[in-house]
Amino acid sequence: MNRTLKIRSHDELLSYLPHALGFRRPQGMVCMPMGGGPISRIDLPATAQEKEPFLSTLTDVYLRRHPTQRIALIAYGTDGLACLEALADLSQRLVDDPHGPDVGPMLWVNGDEWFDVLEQTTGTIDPDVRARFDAEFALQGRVMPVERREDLAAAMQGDPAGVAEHLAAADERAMTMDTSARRTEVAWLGSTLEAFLQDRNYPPDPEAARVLAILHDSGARDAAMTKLTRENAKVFSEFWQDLVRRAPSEVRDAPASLLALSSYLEGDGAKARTALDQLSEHDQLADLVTVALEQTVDPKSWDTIRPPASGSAAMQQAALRPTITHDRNGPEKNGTDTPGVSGPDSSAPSR
Amino acid sequence: MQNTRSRVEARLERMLATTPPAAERMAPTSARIDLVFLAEDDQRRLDQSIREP
Repeated sequence: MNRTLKIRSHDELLSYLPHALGFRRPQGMVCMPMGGGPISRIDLPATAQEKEPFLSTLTDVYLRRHPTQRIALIAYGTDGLACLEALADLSQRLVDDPHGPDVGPMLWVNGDEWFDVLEQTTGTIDPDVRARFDAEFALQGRVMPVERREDLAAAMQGDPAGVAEHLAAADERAMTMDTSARRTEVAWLGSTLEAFLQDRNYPPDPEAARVLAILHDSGARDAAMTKLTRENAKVFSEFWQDLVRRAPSEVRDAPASLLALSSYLEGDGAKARTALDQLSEHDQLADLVTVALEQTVDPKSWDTIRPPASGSAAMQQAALRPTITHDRNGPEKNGTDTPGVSGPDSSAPSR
Repeated sequence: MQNTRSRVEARLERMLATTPPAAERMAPTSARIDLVFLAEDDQRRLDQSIREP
Protein backbone atom coordinates (compact mmCIF):
# COMPACT_ATOMS: atom_id res chain seq x y z
CA MET A 1 0.00 0.00 0.00
CA ASN A 2 1.17 3.49 -0.75
CA ARG A 3 2.38 5.53 2.18
CA THR A 4 0.07 8.37 1.14
CA LEU A 5 -2.79 6.18 2.33
CA LYS A 6 -3.78 6.53 5.94
CA ILE A 7 -6.06 4.37 8.00
CA ARG A 8 -7.64 6.92 10.32
CA SER A 9 -11.30 6.15 9.84
CA HIS A 10 -13.58 3.16 9.74
CA ASP A 11 -14.12 3.76 6.03
CA GLU A 12 -10.40 3.52 5.42
CA LEU A 13 -10.01 0.44 7.59
CA LEU A 14 -12.92 -1.30 5.85
CA SER A 15 -11.59 -0.26 2.43
CA TYR A 16 -8.15 -1.63 3.23
CA LEU A 17 -9.17 -5.03 4.60
CA PRO A 18 -10.45 -6.57 1.33
CA HIS A 19 -7.03 -6.00 -0.20
CA ALA A 20 -5.35 -7.78 2.69
CA LEU A 21 -7.84 -10.65 2.77
CA GLY A 22 -8.19 -11.09 -0.99
CA PHE A 23 -12.00 -10.81 -1.04
CA ARG A 24 -14.34 -7.86 -0.75
CA ARG A 25 -17.20 -9.25 1.24
CA PRO A 26 -15.85 -11.42 4.01
CA GLN A 27 -18.22 -13.16 6.38
CA GLY A 28 -17.43 -13.87 10.01
CA MET A 29 -14.93 -12.29 12.37
CA VAL A 30 -11.94 -10.40 11.03
CA CYS A 31 -9.17 -9.48 13.48
CA MET A 32 -6.64 -6.88 12.51
CA PRO A 33 -3.72 -6.37 14.89
CA MET A 34 -2.17 -2.92 14.93
CA GLY A 35 1.57 -3.09 14.86
CA GLY A 36 2.33 -6.53 13.50
CA GLY A 37 0.94 -10.04 13.53
CA PRO A 38 -1.38 -11.84 11.15
CA ILE A 39 -4.76 -10.55 10.08
CA SER A 40 -7.32 -13.29 10.51
CA ARG A 41 -10.79 -14.28 9.36
CA ILE A 42 -12.88 -17.00 10.88
CA ASP A 43 -16.52 -18.07 10.63
CA LEU A 44 -18.75 -17.00 13.48
CA PRO A 45 -19.88 -19.87 15.70
CA ALA A 46 -23.11 -21.27 14.31
CA THR A 47 -23.92 -23.26 17.46
CA ALA A 48 -23.14 -23.07 21.16
CA GLN A 49 -20.71 -25.97 20.70
CA GLU A 50 -18.71 -23.98 18.17
CA LYS A 51 -18.29 -20.98 20.44
CA GLU A 52 -15.35 -22.29 22.44
CA PRO A 53 -13.32 -23.47 19.41
CA PHE A 54 -13.97 -20.04 17.86
CA LEU A 55 -12.68 -18.22 20.93
CA SER A 56 -9.78 -20.54 21.73
CA THR A 57 -8.55 -20.51 18.15
CA LEU A 58 -8.38 -16.71 18.10
CA THR A 59 -6.94 -16.35 21.60
CA ASP A 60 -4.30 -18.94 20.76
CA VAL A 61 -3.27 -16.72 17.85
CA TYR A 62 -3.35 -13.33 19.57
CA LEU A 63 -2.47 -14.18 23.17
CA ARG A 64 0.15 -16.85 22.63
CA ARG A 65 1.47 -17.25 19.11
CA HIS A 66 1.35 -13.70 17.80
CA PRO A 67 0.77 -11.33 20.73
CA THR A 68 -0.10 -7.79 19.81
CA GLN A 69 -0.65 -4.54 21.68
CA ARG A 70 -3.85 -3.48 19.99
CA ILE A 71 -6.37 -5.21 17.80
CA ALA A 72 -9.41 -4.19 15.78
CA LEU A 73 -12.33 -6.62 15.69
CA ILE A 74 -14.76 -6.52 12.78
CA ALA A 75 -17.72 -8.88 12.62
CA TYR A 76 -19.20 -9.17 9.13
CA GLY A 77 -22.68 -10.56 8.68
CA THR A 78 -26.37 -9.93 8.41
CA ASP A 79 -27.17 -11.49 11.79
CA GLY A 80 -26.62 -8.57 14.12
CA LEU A 81 -27.14 -10.53 17.31
CA ALA A 82 -24.63 -13.21 16.34
CA CYS A 83 -22.08 -10.57 15.31
CA LEU A 84 -22.49 -8.53 18.49
CA GLU A 85 -22.29 -11.61 20.72
CA ALA A 86 -19.15 -12.78 19.01
CA LEU A 87 -17.58 -9.34 19.36
CA ALA A 88 -18.47 -9.19 23.05
CA ASP A 89 -17.23 -12.70 23.82
CA LEU A 90 -13.96 -12.31 21.94
CA SER A 91 -13.13 -8.87 23.28
CA GLN A 92 -13.86 -10.03 26.81
CA ARG A 93 -11.58 -13.03 26.42
CA LEU A 94 -8.78 -10.87 25.03
CA VAL A 95 -8.91 -8.04 27.58
CA ASP A 96 -9.33 -10.43 30.50
CA ASP A 97 -5.92 -11.87 29.83
CA PRO A 98 -3.21 -9.97 31.76
CA HIS A 99 -1.09 -9.86 28.60
CA GLY A 100 -3.99 -9.28 26.26
CA PRO A 101 -4.15 -6.43 23.74
CA ASP A 102 -6.22 -3.28 23.86
CA VAL A 103 -9.29 -3.85 21.74
CA GLY A 104 -10.73 -1.31 19.36
CA PRO A 105 -12.38 -0.41 17.21
CA MET A 106 -15.10 -3.07 17.39
CA LEU A 107 -17.34 -2.98 14.35
CA TRP A 108 -20.33 -4.88 13.07
CA VAL A 109 -20.44 -4.62 9.27
CA ASN A 110 -23.55 -5.50 7.30
CA GLY A 111 -23.02 -4.86 3.62
CA ASP A 112 -21.75 -1.30 3.34
CA GLU A 113 -23.14 -0.29 6.73
CA TRP A 114 -21.02 -0.32 9.87
CA PHE A 115 -21.84 0.02 13.54
CA ASP A 116 -19.18 0.95 16.07
CA VAL A 117 -19.95 -1.01 19.23
CA LEU A 118 -17.72 1.05 21.52
CA GLU A 119 -18.61 4.49 20.20
CA GLN A 120 -22.24 3.64 19.40
CA THR A 121 -21.95 5.28 15.99
CA THR A 122 -23.02 4.12 12.56
CA GLY A 123 -22.02 4.91 9.02
CA THR A 124 -21.78 3.76 5.42
CA ILE A 125 -18.52 2.99 3.70
CA ASP A 126 -17.71 5.94 1.48
CA PRO A 127 -17.42 4.68 -2.13
CA ASP A 128 -14.83 7.37 -2.85
CA VAL A 129 -12.59 6.07 -0.07
CA ARG A 130 -12.99 2.52 -1.36
CA ALA A 131 -12.17 3.66 -4.89
CA ARG A 132 -9.07 5.46 -3.62
CA PHE A 133 -7.77 2.31 -1.96
CA ASP A 134 -8.58 0.24 -5.04
CA ALA A 135 -6.69 2.70 -7.21
CA GLU A 136 -3.65 2.70 -4.95
CA PHE A 137 -3.43 -1.08 -4.94
CA ALA A 138 -4.04 -1.23 -8.69
CA LEU A 139 -1.18 1.20 -9.24
CA GLN A 140 1.06 -1.22 -7.40
CA GLY A 141 0.04 -3.95 -9.82
CA ARG A 142 -1.88 -5.87 -7.18
CA VAL A 143 -4.61 -8.26 -8.17
CA MET A 144 -8.00 -6.88 -7.16
CA PRO A 145 -9.86 -8.86 -4.50
CA VAL A 146 -12.52 -11.32 -5.60
CA GLU A 147 -16.04 -10.62 -4.39
CA ARG A 148 -16.43 -13.45 -1.87
CA ARG A 149 -14.18 -16.04 -0.29
CA GLU A 150 -16.02 -18.76 -2.21
CA ASP A 151 -14.82 -17.16 -5.43
CA LEU A 152 -11.26 -18.23 -4.60
CA ALA A 153 -12.29 -21.82 -5.35
CA ALA A 154 -14.05 -20.82 -8.54
CA ALA A 155 -10.86 -19.14 -9.70
CA MET A 156 -9.13 -22.52 -9.46
CA GLN A 157 -11.56 -24.18 -11.85
CA GLY A 158 -10.88 -24.01 -15.56
CA ASP A 159 -11.10 -25.93 -18.79
CA PRO A 160 -8.73 -28.92 -18.88
CA ALA A 161 -9.52 -29.88 -22.47
CA GLY A 162 -6.49 -28.25 -24.05
CA VAL A 163 -3.94 -29.86 -21.74
CA ALA A 164 -5.81 -33.18 -21.75
CA GLU A 165 -5.14 -33.52 -25.47
CA HIS A 166 -1.42 -33.70 -24.76
CA LEU A 167 -1.34 -35.44 -21.40
CA ALA A 168 -1.29 -39.06 -22.55
CA ALA A 169 1.67 -38.41 -24.79
CA ALA A 170 3.47 -36.45 -22.08
CA ASP A 171 2.83 -39.24 -19.59
CA GLU A 172 4.13 -41.84 -21.97
CA ARG A 173 7.24 -39.83 -22.59
CA ALA A 174 7.86 -39.24 -18.86
CA MET A 175 7.37 -42.88 -17.96
CA THR A 176 9.94 -44.10 -20.44
CA MET A 177 12.71 -41.73 -19.35
CA ASP A 178 15.95 -43.11 -18.05
CA THR A 179 17.93 -41.34 -15.34
CA SER A 180 19.75 -39.06 -17.75
CA ALA A 181 16.61 -38.03 -19.56
CA ARG A 182 14.85 -37.47 -16.28
CA ARG A 183 17.65 -35.23 -15.07
CA THR A 184 17.36 -33.21 -18.26
CA GLU A 185 13.61 -32.97 -17.81
CA VAL A 186 13.95 -31.81 -14.22
CA ALA A 187 16.40 -29.13 -15.34
CA TRP A 188 13.93 -28.06 -18.04
CA LEU A 189 11.22 -27.68 -15.42
CA GLY A 190 13.48 -25.52 -13.28
CA SER A 191 14.28 -23.28 -16.23
CA THR A 192 10.60 -23.07 -17.15
CA LEU A 193 9.81 -21.75 -13.68
CA GLU A 194 12.69 -19.29 -13.86
CA ALA A 195 11.44 -18.02 -17.20
CA PHE A 196 7.98 -17.54 -15.77
CA LEU A 197 9.41 -15.51 -12.91
CA GLN A 198 10.81 -13.17 -15.54
CA ASP A 199 8.11 -12.94 -18.20
CA ARG A 200 4.91 -14.26 -16.54
CA ASN A 201 3.97 -16.07 -19.76
CA TYR A 202 1.92 -19.17 -19.03
CA PRO A 203 3.08 -22.34 -20.77
CA PRO A 204 1.11 -23.47 -23.82
CA ASP A 205 -0.87 -26.71 -23.55
CA PRO A 206 1.87 -29.16 -24.66
CA GLU A 207 4.35 -27.70 -22.17
CA ALA A 208 1.76 -27.57 -19.43
CA ALA A 209 1.13 -31.28 -20.00
CA ARG A 210 4.87 -31.89 -19.88
CA VAL A 211 5.11 -30.08 -16.51
CA LEU A 212 2.21 -32.08 -15.09
CA ALA A 213 3.70 -35.35 -16.31
CA ILE A 214 6.97 -34.83 -14.48
CA LEU A 215 5.57 -33.36 -11.25
CA HIS A 216 5.09 -36.75 -9.64
CA ASP A 217 8.85 -36.93 -9.35
CA SER A 218 10.04 -35.47 -6.05
CA GLY A 219 13.24 -34.30 -7.72
CA ALA A 220 11.13 -32.38 -10.20
CA ARG A 221 9.14 -30.75 -7.46
CA ASP A 222 12.37 -29.77 -5.72
CA ALA A 223 13.69 -28.25 -8.92
CA ALA A 224 10.41 -26.43 -9.42
CA MET A 225 10.54 -24.86 -5.99
CA THR A 226 14.27 -24.20 -5.63
CA LYS A 227 13.83 -20.49 -6.28
CA LEU A 228 10.73 -20.13 -4.14
CA THR A 229 10.99 -17.32 -1.59
CA ARG A 230 8.45 -15.31 0.35
CA GLU A 231 9.02 -12.40 -2.01
CA ASN A 232 8.34 -14.29 -5.24
CA ALA A 233 5.80 -16.75 -3.82
CA LYS A 234 2.96 -14.72 -5.31
CA VAL A 235 4.35 -15.25 -8.81
CA PHE A 236 4.82 -18.97 -8.16
CA SER A 237 1.19 -19.05 -7.05
CA GLU A 238 0.12 -17.55 -10.37
CA PHE A 239 1.97 -20.31 -12.22
CA TRP A 240 0.56 -23.17 -10.14
CA GLN A 241 -2.94 -21.74 -10.06
CA ASP A 242 -2.94 -21.59 -13.84
CA LEU A 243 -1.93 -25.25 -13.95
CA VAL A 244 -4.56 -26.22 -11.39
CA ARG A 245 -7.14 -24.52 -13.60
CA ARG A 246 -5.99 -26.36 -16.73
CA ALA A 247 -5.01 -29.75 -15.32
CA PRO A 248 -7.20 -32.78 -15.95
CA SER A 249 -8.49 -34.22 -12.69
CA GLU A 250 -6.05 -37.16 -12.58
CA VAL A 251 -3.01 -34.84 -12.43
CA ARG A 252 -4.49 -31.92 -10.52
CA ASP A 253 -3.28 -32.83 -7.06
CA ALA A 254 0.42 -32.11 -7.61
CA PRO A 255 0.02 -28.49 -8.79
CA ALA A 256 -2.65 -27.96 -6.13
CA SER A 257 -0.19 -29.00 -3.42
CA LEU A 258 2.44 -26.67 -4.82
CA LEU A 259 -0.12 -23.87 -5.04
CA ALA A 260 -1.00 -24.47 -1.40
CA LEU A 261 2.67 -24.14 -0.46
CA SER A 262 3.33 -20.99 -2.47
CA SER A 263 0.06 -19.41 -1.27
CA TYR A 264 0.98 -20.16 2.32
CA LEU A 265 4.43 -18.66 1.82
CA GLU A 266 3.03 -15.50 0.26
CA GLY A 267 0.98 -15.19 3.44
CA ASP A 268 -2.43 -15.92 1.91
CA GLY A 269 -3.96 -18.50 4.21
CA ALA A 270 -7.39 -18.46 2.57
CA LYS A 271 -5.94 -19.26 -0.85
CA ALA A 272 -3.70 -21.95 0.63
CA ARG A 273 -6.68 -23.62 2.29
CA THR A 274 -8.70 -23.34 -0.90
CA ALA A 275 -5.88 -24.99 -2.84
CA LEU A 276 -5.79 -27.81 -0.30
CA ASP A 277 -9.54 -28.23 -0.76
CA GLN A 278 -8.88 -28.97 -4.45
CA LEU A 279 -6.93 -32.11 -3.62
CA SER A 280 -8.56 -35.47 -4.15
CA GLU A 281 -6.06 -36.95 -1.71
CA HIS A 282 -3.48 -35.29 0.53
CA ASP A 283 0.18 -35.97 -0.14
CA GLN A 284 3.06 -35.31 2.26
CA LEU A 285 3.49 -31.72 1.14
CA ALA A 286 -0.21 -31.00 1.56
CA ASP A 287 -0.11 -32.50 5.05
CA LEU A 288 2.79 -30.25 6.00
CA VAL A 289 1.12 -27.13 4.64
CA THR A 290 -2.00 -28.08 6.58
CA VAL A 291 0.04 -28.30 9.77
CA ALA A 292 1.62 -24.92 9.05
CA LEU A 293 -1.82 -23.36 8.61
CA GLU A 294 -3.30 -25.01 11.68
CA GLN A 295 -0.30 -24.05 13.81
CA THR A 296 -0.51 -20.49 12.40
CA VAL A 297 3.19 -20.58 11.62
CA ASP A 298 4.55 -17.30 10.25
CA PRO A 299 6.03 -18.12 6.82
CA LYS A 300 8.75 -15.50 7.14
CA SER A 301 11.18 -18.08 8.49
CA TRP A 302 11.04 -20.02 5.20
CA ASP A 303 13.78 -17.88 3.69
CA THR A 304 16.09 -18.45 6.65
CA ILE A 305 15.62 -22.21 6.86
CA ARG A 306 18.28 -23.82 4.78
CA PRO A 307 17.10 -26.60 2.49
CA PRO A 308 18.68 -30.00 3.10
CA ALA A 309 22.03 -30.39 1.37
CA SER A 310 21.57 -31.33 -2.24
CA GLY A 311 24.72 -33.41 -2.09
CA SER A 312 23.06 -36.05 0.00
CA ALA A 313 23.58 -39.24 -1.93
CA ALA A 314 20.43 -40.81 -0.63
CA MET A 315 18.39 -37.73 -1.48
CA GLN A 316 19.89 -37.51 -4.95
CA GLN A 317 19.15 -41.14 -5.55
CA ALA A 318 15.62 -40.62 -4.37
CA ALA A 319 15.22 -37.55 -6.52
CA LEU A 320 16.41 -39.27 -9.65
CA ARG A 321 14.68 -42.56 -9.10
CA PRO A 322 11.92 -43.13 -11.62
CA THR A 323 8.84 -42.61 -9.52
CA ILE A 324 6.10 -41.79 -11.94
CA THR A 325 3.10 -43.82 -10.99
CA HIS A 326 1.20 -45.71 -13.64
CA ASP A 327 -2.19 -45.62 -12.05
CA ARG A 328 -3.81 -43.03 -14.22
CA ASN A 329 -6.83 -44.00 -16.19
CA GLY A 330 -5.50 -42.94 -19.53
CA PRO A 331 -5.86 -44.80 -22.79
CA GLU A 332 -3.61 -47.74 -23.55
CA LYS A 333 -0.31 -46.59 -25.00
CA ASN A 334 0.88 -48.20 -28.20
CA GLY A 335 4.46 -47.91 -29.36
CA THR A 336 6.79 -45.06 -28.60
CA ASP A 337 5.34 -42.41 -30.83
CA THR A 338 4.33 -39.46 -28.65
CA PRO A 339 3.03 -36.74 -30.91
CA GLY A 340 2.15 -33.40 -29.45
CA VAL A 341 4.80 -33.32 -26.74
CA SER A 342 7.70 -31.01 -27.15
CA GLY A 343 11.09 -31.50 -25.55
CA PRO A 344 14.06 -33.78 -25.98
CA ASP A 345 13.44 -37.41 -26.81
CA SER A 346 13.31 -39.72 -23.88
CA SER A 347 15.83 -42.51 -23.63
CA ALA A 348 15.16 -46.17 -23.37
CA PRO A 349 12.75 -47.35 -20.68
CA SER A 350 14.46 -47.74 -17.36
CA ARG A 351 12.62 -50.78 -16.25
CA MET B 1 2.89 -39.55 -5.00
CA GLN B 2 5.92 -41.31 -3.64
CA ASN B 3 6.75 -41.57 0.05
CA THR B 4 10.31 -40.26 -0.13
CA ARG B 5 10.58 -36.87 1.57
CA SER B 6 11.56 -34.29 -1.01
CA ARG B 7 13.86 -31.38 -0.20
CA VAL B 8 10.91 -28.98 -0.28
CA GLU B 9 9.04 -31.13 2.20
CA ALA B 10 12.12 -31.55 4.39
CA ARG B 11 12.63 -27.78 4.42
CA LEU B 12 9.04 -27.13 5.41
CA GLU B 13 9.28 -29.82 8.07
CA ARG B 14 12.35 -28.10 9.52
CA MET B 15 10.49 -24.83 9.61
CA LEU B 16 7.58 -26.39 11.46
CA ALA B 17 9.96 -28.03 13.91
CA THR B 18 11.09 -24.60 15.07
CA THR B 19 7.52 -23.67 16.01
CA PRO B 20 6.08 -24.69 19.37
CA PRO B 21 3.01 -26.91 19.28
CA ALA B 22 -0.41 -25.36 19.49
CA ALA B 23 -1.69 -24.54 22.93
CA GLU B 24 -4.05 -27.14 24.23
CA ARG B 25 -7.53 -26.14 23.31
CA MET B 26 -10.67 -26.83 25.25
CA ALA B 27 -12.47 -28.24 22.25
CA PRO B 28 -11.27 -31.35 20.45
CA THR B 29 -11.10 -29.51 17.17
CA SER B 30 -10.12 -25.97 16.46
CA ALA B 31 -12.06 -23.70 14.18
CA ARG B 32 -10.84 -23.16 10.66
CA ILE B 33 -9.08 -19.83 10.40
CA ASP B 34 -7.73 -17.84 7.46
CA LEU B 35 -4.56 -15.95 8.30
CA VAL B 36 -2.85 -13.24 6.30
CA PHE B 37 0.82 -12.68 6.98
CA LEU B 38 1.77 -9.47 5.21
CA ALA B 39 5.07 -9.19 3.41
CA GLU B 40 7.66 -7.19 5.29
CA ASP B 41 7.23 -4.06 3.15
CA ASP B 42 3.45 -4.24 3.30
CA GLN B 43 3.54 -4.62 7.05
CA ARG B 44 5.82 -1.62 7.41
CA ARG B 45 3.58 0.50 5.20
CA LEU B 46 0.53 -0.61 7.12
CA ASP B 47 2.21 0.29 10.40
CA GLN B 48 2.99 3.74 9.00
CA SER B 49 -0.51 4.23 7.68
CA ILE B 50 -2.22 3.55 11.00
CA ARG B 51 -0.02 5.93 12.97
CA GLU B 52 -1.51 9.22 13.82
CA PRO B 53 -0.53 11.96 11.30
